[in-house]
Amino acid sequence: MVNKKICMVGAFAVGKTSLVKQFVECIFDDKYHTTIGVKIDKKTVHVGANSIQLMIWDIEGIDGFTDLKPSYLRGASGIILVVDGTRKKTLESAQEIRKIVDEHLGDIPTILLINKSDLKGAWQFDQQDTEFLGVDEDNIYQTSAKKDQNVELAFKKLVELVLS
Amino acid sequence: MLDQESNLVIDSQVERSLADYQRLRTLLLGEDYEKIIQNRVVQDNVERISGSLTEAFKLRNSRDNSLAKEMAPVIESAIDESIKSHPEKITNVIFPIIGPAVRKAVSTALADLMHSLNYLLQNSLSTKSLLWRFKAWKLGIPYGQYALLQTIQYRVEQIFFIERESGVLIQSAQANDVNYQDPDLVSSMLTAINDFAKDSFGQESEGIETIQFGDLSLIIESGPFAVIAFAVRGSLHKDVKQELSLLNEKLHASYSKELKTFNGDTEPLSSSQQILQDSLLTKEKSDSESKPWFAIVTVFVLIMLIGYFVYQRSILENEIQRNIGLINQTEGYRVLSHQLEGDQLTFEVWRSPLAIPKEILQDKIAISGLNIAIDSLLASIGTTELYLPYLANKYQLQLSTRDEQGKTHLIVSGVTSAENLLNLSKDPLVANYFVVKPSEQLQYKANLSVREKSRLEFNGLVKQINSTNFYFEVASSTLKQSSLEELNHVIVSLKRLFELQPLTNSRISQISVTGFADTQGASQANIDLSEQRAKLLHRILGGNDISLNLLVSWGVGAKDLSSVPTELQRRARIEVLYQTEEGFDNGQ
Ligand SMILES: Nc1nc2c(ncn2[C@@H]2O[C@H](COP(=O)(O)OP(=O)(O)OP(=O)(O)O)[C@@H](O)[C@H]2O)c(=O)[nH]1
Ligand SMILES: [Mg+2]
Repeated sequence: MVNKKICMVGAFAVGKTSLVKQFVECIFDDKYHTTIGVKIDKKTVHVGANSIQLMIWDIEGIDGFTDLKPSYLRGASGIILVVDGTRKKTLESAQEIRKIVDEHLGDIPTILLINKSDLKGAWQFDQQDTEFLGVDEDNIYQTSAKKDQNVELAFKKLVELVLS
Repeated sequence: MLDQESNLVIDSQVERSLADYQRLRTLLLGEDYEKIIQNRVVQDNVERISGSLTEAFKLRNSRDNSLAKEMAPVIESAIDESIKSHPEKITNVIFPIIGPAVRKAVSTALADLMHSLNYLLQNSLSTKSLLWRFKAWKLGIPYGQYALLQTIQYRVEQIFFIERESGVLIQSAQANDVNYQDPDLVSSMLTAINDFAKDSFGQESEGIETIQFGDLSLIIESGPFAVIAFAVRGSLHKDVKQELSLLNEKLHASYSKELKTFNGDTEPLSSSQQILQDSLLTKEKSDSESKPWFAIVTVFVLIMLIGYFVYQRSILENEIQRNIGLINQTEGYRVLSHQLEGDQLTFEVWRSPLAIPKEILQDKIAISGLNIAIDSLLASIGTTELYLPYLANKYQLQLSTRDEQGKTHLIVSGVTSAENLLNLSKDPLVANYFVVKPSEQLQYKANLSVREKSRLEFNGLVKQINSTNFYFEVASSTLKQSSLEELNHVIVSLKRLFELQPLTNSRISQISVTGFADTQGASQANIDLSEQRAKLLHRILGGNDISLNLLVSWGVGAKDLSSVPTELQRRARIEVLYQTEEGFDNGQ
């Protein structure tokens, strides 16, 4: 079986941990426990005839005080970049992350998740406003970890990109 | 009550007069003036309140905390507002406390990671560790401590072969009874911990790193493309570390191409399983290390001492048993018990009144180093259990007693001849105390043929005759009265012998009479006297129709030892010699 490491990155509290939890365990929790360091999970995904085991590195969110530690990215085959639709500021963090990833991993399969789509009424930006991050339009998803919208679809898309 | 009512009345009166006064003022001074007055009043109030605000807060706060409750939402929204409009301000304010907080967070993070890794490893199922846990619990000592005491010096329980960059597990191997929860996660977490430590503390170490969890250690060595980790239970022996390095080199050498182009597919590297398996070292604690010499020597000496005493004891016991046998073989004696106190050995015996004196017996028994005493008791009739084994043994019968109508019956069972049964009932020990009763189980030996019976009678008579002594008065050939009577019996017996001759197919060939004399007097005189004594019997026998052809007699004089009482030396004896089909016999 093929083993692949993928990384969840983004600003703090955008819902990275919640997305992984939804994807791996199908659970959502309203409480916020910020991630410190990294939390690792795994899940086997079947795409077509292929099975692939994802080692999912849920990396602590960045903020004014925490930068993305590049060492966590080492050996990653794919990146899930998460922003929070209700906080415009998370776009800035996303841009910062894009730079670091590019520096260390070069052109690597990346998908962008605009999370908390269940709160669309409170969104401070929409999909067009993410164009500047340079993620291909096909690889952008509006997700909700809470309502389980597009979560599995997004992960599977990344697997496809990683395998192709 | 009354007071209040009157107050109310007064209040309403005042209110009414106030309203009237207001109306009058508006009419006189106009609307604007009214407004100015009102502003003036507000102004006054604010000033008044500000003057006492602090005191009011203080007073209220001292009564309850309702003020804080009311203010909380206000303050919260105030901070919210402040962060939205001027985040830098708040950041600058809290920055001084952020440093320590971050440091704390980092160590928490490391502890967290370690904790979850520990959880994965410690919860791994090793039957050995389960057993140890149980034993440690039973002994009431901490598991870790117990494990260290165990026979295994070290054991590599699991090996991880991890791709260095991604932390992806390429291959793992585990000892037989070990079943880790999730090697994939362990391997990723190991890499993460390594990265975390490097990033947080700037440690860039080459060579072997160690993470300790109780009695389990993870030792990790990184190569250019892969990281090898051993989970080791027990001590970290240098052999284990050496094995880790060797394995690291070996894997890199064997799989350099595959590792260089590794894309997450572990298939091309699956053959590494065998190599990992070979490195699952285990080492028992070597014996010499733990041999408790002192205990061994002590135990050995103890065994020797015990052995010596047991040996001594058994020799003594054998000796005692041999003597017990000796006593029991002596007719009329039976050992009841024996006691050994220091060097005094006492046998308690039953002695029949017919038995030889105990002094004679005592001379026969001896055990070196011991004083021996014999306590004999003449058993009373009440203690039949002492008689019965003796009698049962003597007559080869099974005996028991039963009291009936004031008499004690001796119940006999087993197999017997009629003669044996007769002898039993004639035995003085029986005749004096018991009435013999054959039980239903008693079997008689098949009836003897006439010839066998006659043969038995013949033999018995010969024995009786040949063992009879006839005693004489001093220096004369006159028979003592008792011997004269005996002689009558013997003559009857001799006649019966002649009758039995044809029935038994035997033939009496000689009846010899020998005379003896005591040592008093000259020897020739003694020979003469002894001859006379023999001749006397010769004549008496001849006179009683005993064939003279068979009779011979002679005197031998004084031949007895001086130890034989002189009255017993003065005697004569009759000896029957006979011949059967089998040959000559004298009935002995
Ligand atoms: N309404 C809604 N809330 C969400 C969603 N995803 C996450 N949240 C909430 O957002 C908060 C933060 O979620 P986390 O998943 O912990 O965020 P994170 O990105 O892992 O945060 P850090 O670990 O601190 O970087 C939690 O209170 C979640 O309940 C979503 O799709 N919709
Ligand atoms: Mg998180």
